[in-house]
Amino acid sequence: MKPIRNAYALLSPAIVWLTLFLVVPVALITVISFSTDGGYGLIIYEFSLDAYIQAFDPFYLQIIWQSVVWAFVSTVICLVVGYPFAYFIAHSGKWKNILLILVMIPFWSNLLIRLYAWVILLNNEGVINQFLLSIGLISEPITMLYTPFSIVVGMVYGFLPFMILPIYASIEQLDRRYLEAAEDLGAGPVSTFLRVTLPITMPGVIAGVFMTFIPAVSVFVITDLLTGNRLVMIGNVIRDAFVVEMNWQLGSALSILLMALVLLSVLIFTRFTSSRSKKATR
Amino acid sequence: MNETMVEIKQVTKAFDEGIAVNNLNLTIRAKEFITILGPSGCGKTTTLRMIAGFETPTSGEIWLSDKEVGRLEPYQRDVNTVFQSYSLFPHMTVFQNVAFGLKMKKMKKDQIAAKVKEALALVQLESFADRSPKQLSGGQQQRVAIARAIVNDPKVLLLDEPLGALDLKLRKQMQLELKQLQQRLGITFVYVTHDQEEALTMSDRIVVMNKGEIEQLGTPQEIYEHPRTPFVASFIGEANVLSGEVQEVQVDHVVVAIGDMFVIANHNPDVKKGDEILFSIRPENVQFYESNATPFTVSATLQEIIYAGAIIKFICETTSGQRLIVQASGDRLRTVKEGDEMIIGWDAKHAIVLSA
Repeated sequence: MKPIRNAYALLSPAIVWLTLFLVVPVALITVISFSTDGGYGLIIYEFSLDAYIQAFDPFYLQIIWQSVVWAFVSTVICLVVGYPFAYFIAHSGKWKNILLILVMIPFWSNLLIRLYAWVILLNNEGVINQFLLSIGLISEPITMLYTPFSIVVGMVYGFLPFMILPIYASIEQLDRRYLEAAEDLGAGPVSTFLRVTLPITMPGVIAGVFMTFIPAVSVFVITDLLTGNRLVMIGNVIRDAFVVEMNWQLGSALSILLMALVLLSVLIFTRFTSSRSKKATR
Repeated sequence: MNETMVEIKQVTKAFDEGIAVNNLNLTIRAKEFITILGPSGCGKTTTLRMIAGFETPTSGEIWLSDKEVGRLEPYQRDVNTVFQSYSLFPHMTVFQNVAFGLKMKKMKKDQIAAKVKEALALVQLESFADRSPKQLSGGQQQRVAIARAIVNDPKVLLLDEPLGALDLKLRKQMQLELKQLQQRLGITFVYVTHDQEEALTMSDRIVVMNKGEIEQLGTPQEIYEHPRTPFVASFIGEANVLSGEVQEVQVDHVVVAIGDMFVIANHNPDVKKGDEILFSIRPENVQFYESNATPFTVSATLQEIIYAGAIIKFICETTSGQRLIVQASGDRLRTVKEGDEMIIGWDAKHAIVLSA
């Protein structure tokens, strides 16, 4: 009995943390989402499905769907860019630490400030357009800001390190001797990568995809800054429901929906990747 | 019969840290079990890795049957390796591991299944096909690694200290199994080890390497009984290496002066009167004599008696200050004690003149 009690003692900070910052908030918004709206943020604790009826409005569903698509596209780009990059870092010998620091340097300043830099870059009068105009590649500025393109750029920029770091960790741990064994058995570079490197580093890929997709699907600062609220994602809608419209019930219901959606996609993705990596080696 | 399988021609491999293999020439015959033996850092593993293709020679050529392969990638060479760490793919079952090489050759599925089954049967692991490597013991993992390599019918099987991680009993058993497997399959085995006993037990021929060069190449018996250099004499088994000056060269032996005493050694055409030479004698070939009746003996002080079960070792020091280990048995020796003066001698044929 004693060792188990000791384990609980050691786990207690984590348990307290999880209870305070995960269980209690989720319980709160669950309760609020089923409560009655008293107007101006007043919560009347009477059971009501009004918020969910509102939330299932095609208008919101459309925004949720849009958010999932943009987050998905950004995640795929992060993966396609991030995997080779992580691979490169893991194989760059003594430059490894410098490259890792370069990946993490953006974290030293606030995302808001870094996004303003993108506004300056992507603007119609911005650096990129001015450059393209001056070399004569385009005759009039391309509108990049206020488009889905700018959202994807912002998300890839903001979340790429979250993709690179877990993948880097798994490639770094990959024992080179597995690769030698594969080569020895007649596998060229492509087969070695697809059949050995990728399956063994899959846990890093899965972690990277979640760490990118989950914050990306609910983001609102990026849309705020790079589209000036002209395009919205579900994160903006939830934030506005709480802060602007003071409709806590709707905000909570949309949050619950989003959470359910994320959990569902996590389940689908893990099922898909684990069955695939099994099939790939059969 | 003595068809050449691998030929290493003037191969040198230099790393940033220094030269690992220096101008190596070695011919490996088809179907032989050859062992590259040497201490760590002698270049044996580098040599093996160059045959496998994991390292490219800095200069020189490596021929595999009738093709120069020195600069080809590992996957372009008809050799397979059994690694010391086994390196079984952790995300595949035993079956998938063994099937990997055949899949790379795009063999048909039913053919793969049959060959994998056969290979697993050879190493007595048929019933483990669906297990994950993690569920197997070290010895079983090693057998899977062997099956994974031989299933491809390689021209040469390279084994890099494959038994190093196993305990003594299992190692002895695997030594016999590997030897039997090699004879049954008729594949050329190139085996790398630092364990001289393993080399003597299993090999048709042994290559003794030191500091990137070959010290001696020969059958286990030649290597053990006629070591050519002081390194080989002391690395393989236990040997007394003594120095002295040649006094007389006879048809079948030479007379050597150690201080003011004379001993005999095996004849060697390269030595002449007056040469300072080194020669080696195994402890089991050295005897104690009752008296100075025989010529060619040395007297020595018994310094230490080491009891090791079936045999007893006596560590002596000659009057000229050279250490001599004598391995002997017999009732009379029960009464000797440390500090006694002993008379020591040997047959000329057992004292091998070494080239310095």
